[in-house]
Amino acid sequence: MTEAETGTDTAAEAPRIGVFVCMCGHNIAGTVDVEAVAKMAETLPYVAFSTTTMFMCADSGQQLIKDSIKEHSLNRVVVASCSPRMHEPTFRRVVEEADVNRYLFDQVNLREHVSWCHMRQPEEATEKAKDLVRMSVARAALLESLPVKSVEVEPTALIVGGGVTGMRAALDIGDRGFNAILVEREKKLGGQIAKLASVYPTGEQGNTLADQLIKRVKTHDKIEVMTESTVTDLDGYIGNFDVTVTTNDADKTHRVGTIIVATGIQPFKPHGYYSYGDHPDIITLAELEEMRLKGDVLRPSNGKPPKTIAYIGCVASRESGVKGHEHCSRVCCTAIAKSAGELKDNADEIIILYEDLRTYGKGHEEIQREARTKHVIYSKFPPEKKPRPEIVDGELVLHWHDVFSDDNLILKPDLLVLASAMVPPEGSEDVSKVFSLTRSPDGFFNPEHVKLAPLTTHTAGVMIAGGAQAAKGAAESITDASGAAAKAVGLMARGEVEIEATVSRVIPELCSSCHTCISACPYNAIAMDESQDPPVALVTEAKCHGCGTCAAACPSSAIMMLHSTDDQILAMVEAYLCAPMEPDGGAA
Amino acid sequence: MADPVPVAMGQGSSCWGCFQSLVDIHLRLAEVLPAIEIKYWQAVADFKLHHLESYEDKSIVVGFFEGMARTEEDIHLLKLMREKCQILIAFGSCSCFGGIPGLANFSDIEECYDVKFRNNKTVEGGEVPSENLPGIASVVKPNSDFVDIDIYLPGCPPTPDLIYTAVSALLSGQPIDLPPHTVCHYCDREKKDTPIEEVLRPYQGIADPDRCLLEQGYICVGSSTWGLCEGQCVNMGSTCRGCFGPPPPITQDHGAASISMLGSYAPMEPEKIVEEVKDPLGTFWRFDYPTSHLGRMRIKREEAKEK
Repeated sequence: MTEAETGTDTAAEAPRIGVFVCMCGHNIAGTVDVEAVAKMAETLPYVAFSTTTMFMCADSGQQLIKDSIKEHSLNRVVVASCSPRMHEPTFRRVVEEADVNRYLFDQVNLREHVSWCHMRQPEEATEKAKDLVRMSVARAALLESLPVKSVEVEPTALIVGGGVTGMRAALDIGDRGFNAILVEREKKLGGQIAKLASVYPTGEQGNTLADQLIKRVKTHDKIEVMTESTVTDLDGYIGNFDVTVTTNDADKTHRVGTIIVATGIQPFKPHGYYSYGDHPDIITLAELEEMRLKGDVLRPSNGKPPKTIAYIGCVASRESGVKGHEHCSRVCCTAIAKSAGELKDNADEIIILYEDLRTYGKGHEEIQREARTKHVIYSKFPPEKKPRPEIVDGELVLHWHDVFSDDNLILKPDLLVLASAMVPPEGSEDVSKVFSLTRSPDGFFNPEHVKLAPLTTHTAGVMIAGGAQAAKGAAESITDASGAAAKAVGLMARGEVEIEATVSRVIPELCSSCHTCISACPYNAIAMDESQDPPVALVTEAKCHGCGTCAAACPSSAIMMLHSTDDQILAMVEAYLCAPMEPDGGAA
Repeated sequence: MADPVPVAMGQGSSCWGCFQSLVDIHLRLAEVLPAIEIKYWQAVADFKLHHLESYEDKSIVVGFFEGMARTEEDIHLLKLMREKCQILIAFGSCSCFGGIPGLANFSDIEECYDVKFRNNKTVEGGEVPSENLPGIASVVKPNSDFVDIDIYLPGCPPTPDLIYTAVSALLSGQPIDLPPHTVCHYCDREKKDTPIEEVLRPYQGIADPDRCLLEQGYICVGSSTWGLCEGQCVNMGSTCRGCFGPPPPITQDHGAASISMLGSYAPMEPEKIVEEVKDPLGTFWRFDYPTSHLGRMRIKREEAKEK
């Protein structure tokens, strides 16, 4: 770990705070009286300068901050503008360019937290803005300069899952000259796509497509493929992970710098839906695809080609209130259309029963149109009255209500195909534990932020791609793969990454080894330092996310959160609760 | 040998356990007694209050004050001790934090009278006595609200070893250097970092003698309690109830720290944890309710009533 101190150490100097209130065009100034906020800030303790400008993030605004730091010898900067998720990196860089440590900067969110949510209450919004600025200034006076640290990045990526997503990611990384270790738990690479008879929109066989990738992956000199293997343990932190891969009960540890989780999706076996399992001619779309891949489509009950086929969509998908089945599986509408259109060449009648149709991808609408051109019949059923298969003397009878004709209809299909939901594969729970990934209610892994930090996760250095994030088709998954690979390569190409200095720190003399923090830490960043006698808690800074849980949980105040110390937080509370003093005595 | 050091022992409302513990330094008394001159200690010698009142201000070097001050007499004695002593020690948890008598603040004074006098199970037609008795405050306030305290020696009671260490240091003019660790530091039980799935009462189940009691589900507040006891209870098989109060700085909120700790150790549904943790105030603030944030609010509410 290297340490580089940037900016002057101003901890000992008296604070000189600059407050910069941004109008964000009309976004903030349309609701909040920014001039009044800036004027109020001038009266606060340690504030040496206060101003407003149209766009603080624009070049002119950035220059204003830098010039003011020089002109007024500022050593603390408060910018009251938008969300720190948006521009904290911008303003941290700006103050650093003016020789002020990035941790002596504080941002107040006057846009998302004030003007946008209190648009119709300008007076109250202005009061809230003043409160927030007063709190930030109180905190700023107590901020301390922290060293910016960086760690080296091992130039190897681990990719978990050898489907189309994992293979694409491995190739992108390998082609850029970095090592990739591709771990797949099955015997064969290829994942779900290799089980598809026809991949939309091209119509080629899934295994043909997979085989091309498998061949390239296997012969690539930068890619190591490990099949029948699972990742069973993860230690270390961004740039320096030690992963344990278990192959046939034998463990091997690899040092990797970045990780891409591409564990994909799995078709749900819809037991309990539409008599699945009660009759041999009721099968899932995934089973139909596998059948087509092996040969002709034949009725499981008698081995004859089906003449009348019915499909049902949204099976165990989009069910409000059913945990793990509330989401749209996104691949089925197009997959049904593709499958039905192709089978129509050899069948007399094909009917698709649907609740809603969402052929949203590029070229997908055309697939549905082609199926209709071939006289595949689409019939919409109401969500509250789902189709009902009945087995009469071994024969399958399907009852449903058609919305557009408002008729109850009956069909005796030779084959009933259920387009069942795409769900996280078995073992996702273990994967989430090993990599400390959080999961959304549908069971898929969460990205760090859907819009502002896609593909990365809350575990620094670990990316997710493809079906690991949500049910999605191959085209989108592959795009994810290239994106995640680009992020991994970005980290490895730089060779070192800066890590946040806003981490927790144990004061060893006060630690009594109660282990509360170890249980509390969601990132496994705290362990007992056995080299001490008695052992005391030790934070691995590169693994710490600065969430503060340990500092709050520590019953003996032996942990402090750098950049969010108790003093700083209490100063904010006090600034909020206690109105500022009027110059001639009394409170405002 | 140097001249004996003048000392005074004052007692507010308390059980006398702390002074008992002082006597329990046992044979070491032979070493301590010749070094001190007892100027006031009603419990062991025939001193009257006017004796103490007659001394010159600050003529006594060290004063030990046991108990909390709820009656007018207690408050008078506490202030008098402060006037006469150069160093005033809050001796024991009642004196430091309000202690067990501080639990009375869960109820208002009238409710206390009901239990103690009016509806006392052992008398009929009970009345609140009023003659020849000192007045009583409506709420227990910490001693530090009345006078400045120089040294806090908590514990219910402070252990003889701790008392001997502190007294020896004082008599030799050295600062009292106490380790800041909590009870866990002294506990020999093994931690496995496993979360609690169920909160157990002491009578439930049979505890593994070698494992952390908290991890087995028994609420032990050792991790938030100053370990000047050196882990006596936990190493003998009983959970820590927190009698030494919070570790330095002892102005921390002991109960709040315990609840934060338990919150991270027991990832249970809030309703379940509320159901299973009986008497949270008495469990987490047993010895220091008057000095806690909640207890402070209670005191302020009583003060507002009086205005």
